[in-house]
Amino acid sequence: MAIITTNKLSKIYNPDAVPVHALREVSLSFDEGEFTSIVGPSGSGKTTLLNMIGGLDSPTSGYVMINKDNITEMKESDLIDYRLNNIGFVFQAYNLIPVFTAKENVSFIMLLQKRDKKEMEARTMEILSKVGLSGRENARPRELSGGQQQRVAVARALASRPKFILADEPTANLDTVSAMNLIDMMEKMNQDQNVTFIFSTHDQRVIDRARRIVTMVDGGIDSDIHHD
Amino acid sequence: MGMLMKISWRNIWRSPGRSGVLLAAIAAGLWAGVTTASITNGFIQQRFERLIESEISHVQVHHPEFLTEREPQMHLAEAEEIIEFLQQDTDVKDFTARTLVDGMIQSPVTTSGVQIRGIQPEAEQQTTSIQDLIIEGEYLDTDVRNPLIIGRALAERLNVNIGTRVVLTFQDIDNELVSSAFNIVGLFSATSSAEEEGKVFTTSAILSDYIAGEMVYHELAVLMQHEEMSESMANTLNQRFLKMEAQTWSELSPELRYLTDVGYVSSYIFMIIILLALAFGILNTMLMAIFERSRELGMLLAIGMNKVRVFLMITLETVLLTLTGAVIGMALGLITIRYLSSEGLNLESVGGSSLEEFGYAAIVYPVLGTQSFFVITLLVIFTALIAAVYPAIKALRLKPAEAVRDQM
Repeated sequence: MAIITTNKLSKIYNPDAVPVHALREVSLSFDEGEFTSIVGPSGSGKTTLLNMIGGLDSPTSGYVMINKDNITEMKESDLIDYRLNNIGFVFQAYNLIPVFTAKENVSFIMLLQKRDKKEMEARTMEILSKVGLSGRENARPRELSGGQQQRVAVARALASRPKFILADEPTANLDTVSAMNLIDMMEKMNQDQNVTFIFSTHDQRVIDRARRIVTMVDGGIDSDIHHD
Repeated sequence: MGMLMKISWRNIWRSPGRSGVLLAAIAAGLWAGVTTASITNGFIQQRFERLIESEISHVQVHHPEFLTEREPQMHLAEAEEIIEFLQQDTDVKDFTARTLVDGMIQSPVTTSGVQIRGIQPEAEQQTTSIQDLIIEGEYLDTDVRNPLIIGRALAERLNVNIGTRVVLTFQDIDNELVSSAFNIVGLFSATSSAEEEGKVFTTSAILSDYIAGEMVYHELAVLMQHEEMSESMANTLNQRFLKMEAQTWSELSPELRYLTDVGYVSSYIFMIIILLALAFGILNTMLMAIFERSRELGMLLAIGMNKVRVFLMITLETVLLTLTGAVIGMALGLITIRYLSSEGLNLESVGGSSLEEFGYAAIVYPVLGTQSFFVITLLVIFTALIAAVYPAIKALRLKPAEAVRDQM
């Protein structure tokens, strides 16, 4: 069953000056438990599509449905709450809170959700263990390698129990070993816990691991291949 | 809130150098403001105490028209009853009765107009500091006939000294002129030469005898346990005794009331100016912090930190930074005030003698009350809140998609 549906999603930047068509009537749907890679050259609209699905940007036309919720019509304040409780984000540059430890970075999002303190602590330790960071809970981001920081970012994204995780170029800043370790971890979570991942990437090693590959060109869908 | 407090506090120390410089600026500003305010307060308090203790007292009682007409026959008709009432009131610390008459003092050299103040030597020294002002000779508790104390400046002008006999001329209650010889037993110094030249002191018993042949009083000066009791005492006396008028120090000396009101307000205005200048520094620092952390703030909005929390985080950061600097500044200020209030700040080398001419002390003992600290703390918090608003609004205007565009 589709948890995400985009319907004729278009985004035009600078419509009154020099219009840039970032997305052209993109209609896609993503089922629960998918491990999808969105690929394409720079400027093909990958990031814009992820922004739309994540409710970080609004489309010029079309809409995004998450389950039965049309997030395109939501007010900004409602959308922030919606993102908090339904969507996990992993950014290319990790974007951890530098003044917090790994543990605090992970539990932070649950604090925003006002979770029970005991549950929060238990889940934080459990997730950090799953991403292979046991023993590094009290390290600050600057004390961790790039790969470890991205693992904390994935742990943070998972902590809020989202319906799906959006990751934009998650391995772009990582060396080969760290990148493969990260993709192994994401794949394991997808298979073991049915976590839905949608990630954009240029990295062929990551593309090869995806079970669905959506290729974008000039803001439109060029191909959509399932490898199940 | 605990989480916001933690992240805000740690954010302050992300740029220790920049935060340190701002903290130093806030601390220096507060130190200067608190110290200056305490010196101003010290000036005012010393002037206030000096005037109250040496001249005005907290409450004065006169015949309703005495202060405007100054006629000898306008003495207090109910003096004995009022004195009895004052003796029984526990709020009254001390009081004294005076016989007042305007007249002329004549020496072999010249003549001068003076106010002749007949005082009760023992009660007067309990109520005012007249005895402490005597710089030469003795007080009125002497066996010398018709003793008189005059000011140093008047003595110089009349070319007289201790032991010299002068003639005082004044009206009695029947408007007849009375002249009598008085013996100078003491010289006093005052805060101004006008005061030294304008007043002479003898006993009220002697003066009353000359002007009425019996004890008459024109003025009762009352010193209360606390200044705040002045108003209620004046009201009580006015309701109880109808042939007199009781006035508080603030009614008797509007200039002293103006000095205390304006003085305290001006020290706060000075503090506000300092804080306003600091607010721009705080604003600049916070704007830089927001600019540098725009991607991080965008990320926080993206992952679900709502705008109220972002606003609170920036505001808390600003308030904590400012309060930390303020606490350091106020602590330094307290140490400075404590030292100066025991040692005194000697202004003689920077025109202190001129200050004395105007009735101010050349050595100031700074004072800063609890209320002032409370007001300053509130002003600091208010300044921090004002300085936080614009950076916080800037943070709220961030679009998460734009702020994290390069990464997401």
